[in-house]
Amino acid sequence: MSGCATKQYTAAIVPRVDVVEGPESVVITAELPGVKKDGIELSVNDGILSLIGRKTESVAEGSVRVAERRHGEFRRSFSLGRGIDATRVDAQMDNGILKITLQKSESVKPKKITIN
Amino acid sequence: MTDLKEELAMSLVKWRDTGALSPWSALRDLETHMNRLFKDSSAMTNWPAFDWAPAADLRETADAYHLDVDVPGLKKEEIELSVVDNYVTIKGERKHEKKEEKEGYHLYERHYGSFHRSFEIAGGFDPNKIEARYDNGVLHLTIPKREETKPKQIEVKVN
Repeated sequence: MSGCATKQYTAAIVPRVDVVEGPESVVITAELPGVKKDGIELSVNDGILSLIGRKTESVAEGSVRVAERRHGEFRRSFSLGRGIDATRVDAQMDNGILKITLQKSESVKPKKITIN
Repeated sequence: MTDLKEELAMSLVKWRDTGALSPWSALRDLETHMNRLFKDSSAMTNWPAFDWAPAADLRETADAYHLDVDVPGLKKEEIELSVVDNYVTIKGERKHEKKEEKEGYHLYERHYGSFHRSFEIAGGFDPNKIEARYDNGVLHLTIPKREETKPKQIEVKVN
């Protein structure tokens, strides 16, 4: 995971994320409150992991008193680097959190070397 | 009563989210530091300790108020809802999945810890008729107005 360079889009929501690297994998957790599983498009293309989608929550009518939540399209992308196996990406949605688990390539996983 | 007032004054601090790397992110960091400072000094004051404040939308219709609060990552049972006078208060705590895993962070933007937020429903409401629904990390509340505060059509007769 080199640098995690993220591309910013001004018009769309940029979800808050944590990116944590473990010995075998890299886990991205993104906050997507009010977003349904089928409203998310996740793809890997040329070493770039893209997270795109739209919040389709129905907004009740009435006069607005407080408006802090963000609505509409969201986008975020991550540069994966050479150490990630792009063919093994697992994603789960739970209580508004998208958890993406990326497996590291065998070549970069820590290995124990036995001394003879 | 003063305790409650101070508590509410703190809880009504506005939350701003303008994206991760926007010019506002520095302000948000400052807010986080301020909150931590308050938390550390909370022993000396009556202010409640909180680490972050969830974003909310509040809309008013003829019959009710609709309050939506973003609390992604929390389970339904972890959200505490209470009512005092004209205030609806939402409390909870977002825990780290793995607390010991401090190293290995490439990005750390999400907020963890306790939150506490109160909303004043100016016209009053019926506390026994509040409906709460939790869906995809958003708490949706329908707060019905009291009968006497609902708008009424008054016919004016002109002789």
